[in-house]
Amino acid sequence: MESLYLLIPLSVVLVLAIGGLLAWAALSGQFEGLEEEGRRILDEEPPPGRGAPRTEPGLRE
Amino acid sequence: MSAAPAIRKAKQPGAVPDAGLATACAHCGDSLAGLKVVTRAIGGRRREFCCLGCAFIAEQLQLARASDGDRVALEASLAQGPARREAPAGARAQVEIRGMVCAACAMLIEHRLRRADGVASAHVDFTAQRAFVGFDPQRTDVARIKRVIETAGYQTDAGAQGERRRGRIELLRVLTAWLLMMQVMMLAVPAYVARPGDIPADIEQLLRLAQLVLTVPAVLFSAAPILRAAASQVRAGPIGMDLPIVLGLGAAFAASAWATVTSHGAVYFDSITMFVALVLGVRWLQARALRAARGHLDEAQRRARMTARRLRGFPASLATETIGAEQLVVDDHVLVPVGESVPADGVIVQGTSSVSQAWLTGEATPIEKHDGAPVLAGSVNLEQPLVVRVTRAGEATSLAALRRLVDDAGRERPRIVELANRIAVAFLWIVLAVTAATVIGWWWVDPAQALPSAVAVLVATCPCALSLAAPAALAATQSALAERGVLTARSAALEALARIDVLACDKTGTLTTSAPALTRVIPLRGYRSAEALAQAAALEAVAAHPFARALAQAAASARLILPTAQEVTITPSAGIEATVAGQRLRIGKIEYALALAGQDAQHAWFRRWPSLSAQLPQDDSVIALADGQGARALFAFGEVLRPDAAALVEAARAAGAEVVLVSGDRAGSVDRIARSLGIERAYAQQTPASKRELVAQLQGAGRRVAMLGDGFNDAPVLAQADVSIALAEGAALAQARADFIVLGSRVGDVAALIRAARRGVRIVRENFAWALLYNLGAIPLAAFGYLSPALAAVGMAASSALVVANALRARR
Repeated sequence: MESLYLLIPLSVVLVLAIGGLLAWAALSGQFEGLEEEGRRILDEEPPPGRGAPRTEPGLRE
Repeated sequence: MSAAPAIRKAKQPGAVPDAGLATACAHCGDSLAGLKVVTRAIGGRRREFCCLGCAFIAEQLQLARASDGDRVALEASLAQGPARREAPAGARAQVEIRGMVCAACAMLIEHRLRRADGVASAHVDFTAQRAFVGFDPQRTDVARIKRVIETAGYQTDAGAQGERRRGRIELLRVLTAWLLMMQVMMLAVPAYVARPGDIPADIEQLLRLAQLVLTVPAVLFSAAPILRAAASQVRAGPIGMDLPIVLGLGAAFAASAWATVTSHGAVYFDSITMFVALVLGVRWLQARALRAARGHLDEAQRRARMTARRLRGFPASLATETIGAEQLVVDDHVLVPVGESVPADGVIVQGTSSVSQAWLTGEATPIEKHDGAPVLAGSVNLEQPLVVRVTRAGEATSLAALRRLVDDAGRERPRIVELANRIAVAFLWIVLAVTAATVIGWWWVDPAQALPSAVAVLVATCPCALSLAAPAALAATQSALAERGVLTARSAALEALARIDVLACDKTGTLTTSAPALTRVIPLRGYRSAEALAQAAALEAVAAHPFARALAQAAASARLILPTAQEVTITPSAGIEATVAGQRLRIGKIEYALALAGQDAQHAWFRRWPSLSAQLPQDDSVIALADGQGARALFAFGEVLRPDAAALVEAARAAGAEVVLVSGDRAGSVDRIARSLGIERAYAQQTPASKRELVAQLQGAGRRVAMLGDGFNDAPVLAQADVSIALAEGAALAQARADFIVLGSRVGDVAALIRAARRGVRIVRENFAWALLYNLGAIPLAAFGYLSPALAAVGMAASSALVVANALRARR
């Protein structure tokens, strides 16, 4: 039974730590655009500003 | 209209708007119906205005008159903007503004900006909903400019950033509430399952202390919005449900904390955290319902927002420059490569391609677009590069307009939600009176019982379930609708829709398809109809006439292989002649087609006409296919019912509403459609004004009318009806003003909407009944000491959970 004196306060501290972790995650926007990362792999073109410059077929300068 | 809170603040104390007196804005003459009215004393008389902007202009005019000033000069000074748009030196900025109601608002903001320190020039474009500001970076910055706009009572995108941060904090509140609830539950379980004496007193005390530590953040952080709402209700009124909730929560928390500190009495930390978690969960669900409605629009807007390829010297050169889409202005030319989205609403000036308007219709079916065809921002170009001339950019696009509409959805609270708030005051007094009576009563009988019984009453009467009853069910209904592509622009309309007894429908474009379809083929002289159809479609393949499209569609759905047409000649407004399989054929008006065979109106063939036309549907247009010997076939085109029109009529009947057809079309075709759908009352040849009158008449007879139209041509009648539903497509979307907007024009979704509204409102009623029954039943039990505070707390949590679970049924 004596171990509870350590375990219960420890669990409270743990919960508060997890709460702090959640706070960081939520406030830094980790929960936003959850589906976007999964979909990004299907995008044919790299996001603008990265990768090779694109050519525009069908129109000549 | 999202400037409503600011407008309320700006009202002068005691200047209560009297909606019964004025119906139109004293400055611009717009209708005041449904707006928060701004009242100002002008020339010694109280006047009502539609917005801050109009009130401001009227005040300025009044001042000018009083000081013998020139009205025209003042208006000119207020309006001078474009001329000073270019800052002579220094920086320039564009600021997005939300909440402007009319052009007067734009003037007000301009005026404030020009007076601000360091601002060299300011122009506010009302249609684009943005301000163009030139300023001296040494003396001011963009953040300060935004603050000037915000203090004038409007929102800027700085507000939008703050909104995002607020959204994240709200999410954090929910997450912490649920985390803490689980942990407190875990620590509370031993006390429920243990027999007396099983747990040593010191361990029990430790468990309670741990619960207390974990409940404090749940109450102070997670439940902070409830506490704040209750505090502001005490300060400024009106009293809502939050106050009795905070009383119950506060009593439970105070009693539990006291019991923990003194090691004497019961604790209810588990009920407190559970309630907080449930309330925040429901609010989260409400916010999600709104987000679901916005989700695919957001995606499209994000894509349209990113970049645009402007063609600077079009058509002389095709050099492009990549700029932010928000920098585009009307009449810019942009290049839209394959796979990218159109950055603004516009018209195609070069290229033919197909585009997907999935953001609008929810269907990815490509739509073919030629030169001169309009394209909407957010559409994805699929086949060939296009050059588009911009007609509406930035905040003026259909996409942005729809987004704003959805954003404003929550501005009016349903009556049924208001009901909970109206009874809150009475509720509060009952709670306080019963609590006081309980304390006094027990004081005489048994002072030791006084405190626990008072706490039990406060906890038992906590109207938690009552406050969740309506919002939870309505939010679940809205999110289910949004998933189908039905946007709720006014949540209050759900309740009204559940109570309608007349559904007035427009015909063309609503119950029927807007383009004509092939309704009948009559083959002549032994030709088979499939063969004739294939030849007709081949001849018409080059034409863009609606009949040509109908023929192509019919041929494609019959999987016909078209022969090739050669040496095609087109005679405008008559028909087409071409060689098919070595034979000269004509298709078009009957006289034109038969002229190929030398048969004119006197020919014997026309004597058969009455018997032939009897086989054709009335009111349909007929064209003929002919060769050198005479007619091969007749084709009739007419309106066809949308596939799910019958289902809609049936759903409306099942909901107890009579279906009435109101159309601008001729009596014959209106009657035919009405008969085929079993509609008894049909009104033909109606103008927009007479449609409105008709609805007003029905309302005068005590009927509650819902109007279903295309949201564009039907705007007046939609405004008159109790509930308006618009089937919106394409460019009409930007102008659509309705309570519900059915994207993609699927009539079947209207039937689903009616059913969902009725089910949602029924669930709200069930929830109310249960919550009231529980609260009223528990009061006497708690007062007389039969209900311990712990049991009351369990009951409170259980009834809240039941109400939420019942509400979730509306999602199905």
